[in-house]
Amino acid sequence: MINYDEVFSLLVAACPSFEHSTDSAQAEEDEGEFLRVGHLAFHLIELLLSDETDSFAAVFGIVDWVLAEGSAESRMLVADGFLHDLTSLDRYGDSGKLPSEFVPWLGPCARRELVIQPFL
Amino acid sequence: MTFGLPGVPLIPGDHICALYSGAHERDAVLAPYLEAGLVAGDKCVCVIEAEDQRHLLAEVGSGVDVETCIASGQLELFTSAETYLRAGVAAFSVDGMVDFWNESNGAALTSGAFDFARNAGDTTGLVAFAEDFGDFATYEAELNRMAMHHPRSFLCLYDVRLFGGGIVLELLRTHPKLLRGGMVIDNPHYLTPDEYQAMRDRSGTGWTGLTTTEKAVADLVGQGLTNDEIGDRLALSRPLVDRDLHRIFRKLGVTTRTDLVRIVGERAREQ
Repeated sequence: MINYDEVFSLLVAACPSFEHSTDSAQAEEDEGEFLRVGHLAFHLIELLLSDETDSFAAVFGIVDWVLAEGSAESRMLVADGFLHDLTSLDRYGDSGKLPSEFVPWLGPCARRELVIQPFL
Repeated sequence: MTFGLPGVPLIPGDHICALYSGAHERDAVLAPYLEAGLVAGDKCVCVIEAEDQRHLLAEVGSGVDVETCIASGQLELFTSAETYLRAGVAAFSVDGMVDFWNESNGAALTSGAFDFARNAGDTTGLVAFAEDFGDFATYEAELNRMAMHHPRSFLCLYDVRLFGGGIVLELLRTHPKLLRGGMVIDNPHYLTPDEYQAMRDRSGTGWTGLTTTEKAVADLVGQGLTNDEIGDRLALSRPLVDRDLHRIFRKLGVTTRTDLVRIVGERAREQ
């Protein structure tokens, strides 16, 4: 069982570049886990836009692990927090890229969560 | 996948509004929708008042043994008091309903027993909210986001005799599809949840788009309380407070707690 307060640190461990990012500086613990994983999602969008995707396999491996074996709160955090914020179109600006670019890295559980999101 | 009416398809993620006049018209749509789902082996969840349930079930075709479906859990019937109004007869809760559908559908789909959840909600029990439909319209908009998660559909039924033109306009803005004359049509007036929120933000303030619970959380953030303290005050778990704060940030377009405190303070001074 993966507990709610373990999810953020697991995701960050899979994406070491986050700790040195501007998004990391905004991800204060006091604001709650949903906003923290949201900042991580925004960082992943930045990585996608700059084609720095080396960590994506590890991150979405954690995502699927949480969705499969996490507590109800952990699954809610990943689905409604992290995955939801990956679809924040304003973060993609005029890059010409869309959230659908994440699809190749999504595991089966994440795909099930987002099975009929418009971007899929 | 079929809706249950001749030639009408049903697509995962469908969120359909059906306007009707009287129980007979309602059941002429709702019964075939449920029957098709029961025949297909879908999980079926329906909100309908207790006094209407017997007539509805009688309308479901003879090819389905509804009592067996109910006994097995394939078909669940709830009243508005058990769903829309479960936070209290005077309080509709967007979060409560979102949680209800997620719990009900999530448990059925993740158990492996069902591949699809077919949901329906009649709204005659909500006529008390006809004067102040804001939170319910927000809920209808949020259903579009919810429908994207898990393979499921939502059919929302409104008796036009009970709800006025202003509410019908909100229904047009929040439902991507309409059932009219036995056909499901794409609704040209539909706004995505974000577009709908932006429209409400422009027409009022972002604050009006918050649910009652979200407003309470925001007010307490404005008073300087921590998330744990807010949870204690509102009897919410820490994850639910975190989730509400996340939604508040996204709806109001703020990026820091300081910004939110400022907005709450400005509102307090204006009032």
